[in-house]
Amino acid sequence: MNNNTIIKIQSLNAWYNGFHALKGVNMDIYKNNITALIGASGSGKSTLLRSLNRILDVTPTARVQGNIIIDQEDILGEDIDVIALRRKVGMVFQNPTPFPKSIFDNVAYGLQVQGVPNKRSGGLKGFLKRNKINAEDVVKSQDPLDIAVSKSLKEAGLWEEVKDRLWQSAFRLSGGQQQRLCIARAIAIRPEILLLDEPCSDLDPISTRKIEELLIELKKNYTIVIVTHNMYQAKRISDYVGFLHSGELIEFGETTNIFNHPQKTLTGDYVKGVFG
Amino acid sequence: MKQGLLRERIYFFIFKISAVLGISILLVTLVLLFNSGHSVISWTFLTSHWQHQNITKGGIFPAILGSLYLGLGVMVISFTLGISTAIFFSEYNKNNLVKRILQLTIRNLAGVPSVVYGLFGLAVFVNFFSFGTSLLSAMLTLSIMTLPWVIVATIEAFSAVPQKFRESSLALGADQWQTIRRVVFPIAIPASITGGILGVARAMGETAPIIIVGATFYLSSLPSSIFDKFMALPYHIFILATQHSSPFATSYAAGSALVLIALTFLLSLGSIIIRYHLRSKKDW
Amino acid sequence: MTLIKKQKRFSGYAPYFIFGTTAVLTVGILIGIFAFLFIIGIQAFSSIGFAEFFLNSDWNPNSFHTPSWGIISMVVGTLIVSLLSLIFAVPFGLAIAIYLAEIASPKIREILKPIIEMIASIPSVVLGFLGLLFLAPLVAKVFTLSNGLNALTASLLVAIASLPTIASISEDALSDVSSKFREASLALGATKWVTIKKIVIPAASSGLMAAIMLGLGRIIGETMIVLMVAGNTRAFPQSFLDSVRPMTANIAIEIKEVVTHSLHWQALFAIGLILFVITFIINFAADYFINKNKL
Repeated sequence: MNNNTIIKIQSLNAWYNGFHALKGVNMDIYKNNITALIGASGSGKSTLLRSLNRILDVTPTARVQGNIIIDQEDILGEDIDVIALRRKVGMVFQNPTPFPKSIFDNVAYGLQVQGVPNKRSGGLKGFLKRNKINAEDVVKSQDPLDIAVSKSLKEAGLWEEVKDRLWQSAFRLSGGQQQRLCIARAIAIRPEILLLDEPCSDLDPISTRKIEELLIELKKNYTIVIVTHNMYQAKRISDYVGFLHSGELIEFGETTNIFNHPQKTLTGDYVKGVFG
Repeated sequence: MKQGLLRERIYFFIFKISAVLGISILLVTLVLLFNSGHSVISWTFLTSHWQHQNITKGGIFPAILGSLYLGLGVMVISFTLGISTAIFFSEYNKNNLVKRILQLTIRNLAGVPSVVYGLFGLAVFVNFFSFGTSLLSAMLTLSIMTLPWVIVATIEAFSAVPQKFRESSLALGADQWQTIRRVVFPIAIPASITGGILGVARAMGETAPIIIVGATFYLSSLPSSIFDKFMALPYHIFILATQHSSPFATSYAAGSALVLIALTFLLSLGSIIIRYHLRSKKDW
Repeated sequence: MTLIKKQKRFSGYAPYFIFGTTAVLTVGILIGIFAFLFIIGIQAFSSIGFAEFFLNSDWNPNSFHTPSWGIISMVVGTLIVSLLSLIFAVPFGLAIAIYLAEIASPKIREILKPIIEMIASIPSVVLGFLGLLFLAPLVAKVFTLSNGLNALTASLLVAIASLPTIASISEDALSDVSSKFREASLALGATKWVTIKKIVIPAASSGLMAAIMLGLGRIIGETMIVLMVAGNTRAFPQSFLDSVRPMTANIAIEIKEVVTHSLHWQALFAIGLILFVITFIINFAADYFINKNKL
């Protein structure tokens, strides 16, 4: 197991309008591992996750205090470029949220926003014509956007299923496919860290399985932090587990240890299903 | 029990009749207008200039053109200002209290009588800015009258866009303007525009403000600039109906009314239809 | 791995400033409406005096000897027309709303509701014209008058103009009542009508109140119809068959004939100010009712 710390969380506190959601959390996230955050509803796991890419800034009632060190920088600092941060730390949300755009444009979005021109659907030409995108064209193309899109879709294991309908609306895909599309969209910008907030809770078991396998594949190139309320999922795919309860990090360690030899009673109770 | 059912039947019958009566109002209006005015409608009527001395020799083209100019001007001005304002308060403004106060104020401004807007236009545009009784003054006055509608429709449209789209966009490293431009705006703009067009249709049908700000009844030439005087359909109808001495005034008024209704109905109906269509099309 | 230190993102600030400036400008204009009316109207009040303005029933600004500036006759004119219009429009509108919300099938409702809303698109000058042509003579015939230009005729037409507002918003309020209430009532053996009367309508009452207020706002602000068919006499009205001159019509009639910045001109602005305040308050009240039940 690789013990390179990529995120160092120190004394992290968070409040929503006075409600103390995170209480002095200290945690290390290790590179190229899957770290699962588990705990009951309201334990603060989503809040913790959302602090890592500062998407919590968007919630007006939220306040955060502490240090989150990524790459020797405290990302909670005042002069941090939040946009650049989010290009380094990507996120996939709970309900699949593809944009009302084509499959191709969804995956291309993150790069387009960075200035990479979208020759297929961008501009007036794309708006007027329903560009039928030819899969072979994209594969053979030298255009950096095309290359990135096909690569991400392949990495997400979705390419074969969508290559012949890249121009179609993303909503035509099934729930599981949409979520894999969101993952492809997130990794298209090549973040170092990928955050997932209960990505499978709306999906059927087969789609869930596919995504879990995908994440295990992806950890070779990315560091993954996943919030899940399904401990069996945590057991299946994660290398490290952090157990939160009422805003406190009760226990953190290797997955096998947390599930088989938990140090704290509370942890043991949770993984045995006594509550939660 | 039987008595209750009988009573229910009677009431329900009354309600049904009311609805039928309501609809027939629209039909009766159209029929009466058509009856009085159809004889007048002809190609000449629609395309030639107004002949004051002998109205049967002329047409209402200048009034139609004037109304179209007004509609266009109102659309451009009120949409630009209104949509920008709405975007600011809906997307950039973080203070919820400010947003609510604004929405309240603006919605109430939409209920202020049009004649009051006319007074405002008189004081500000005709007098203070010395634009005089011109197309410009009328455009500006009617635009201000339409602004609340556009703003309310746009804020509602933007608020209806689910937050999850904004979050996903920001999480991908886009900044707020990019998020608005690429994701939120395309989703919200159809609803905003259809709402705004209803406002424009209403503005085109208004008479009181342009009485005050200065539509004219007889012009020898078409307006060549926005500082010129202008004719407009609602004012035309008003004068024909109340002040004209010609025996044909009534049918010409009716004919003009048919044209005006055709214009406003087309806009309103089109807007309503598009809006229902949009609602059924939502994928999320 | 790149450092993530913030550089000033100009691209981010520009839209904020552009939109912000436009927004401030727009809000300024909208506030300016009140400001202009207030500034000009106040001058009239200070010259004329509140007592004369609000207590005199004689409005004769152009009188040779002593001009009088009492707005009571006009206010009463507005009141009569408003009251009559409400009497016609509210039951009518509610009946239509109940039909659409509770009785009609969804398909019929989808067709009928837009049609009712289209009535609102009829320009009021057209309604006034038709009133002049058809309704006024009819009223004259029925009540044996020399002409039908009076408060009654005007009220009938103004009621039509406000009908879509009242019907549509009432229908929204009724539809919003949760079906759970209806189901519970019907399950207890109540008939549909009793359910509507005792459960749905009370539950929707604040929304219905809002509909009526918004309709009232529309009624008070109506200018063209009253201008064309209400008769425009300045005398104090004594019955609904009398000719009246509501405040809105008075402004429209006299504004073209006054000298700019004269006292008469200012007085008309004062009337406009009053109208502004009244309708603003009514709309505010409507908002209160709409938000009463919505949490």
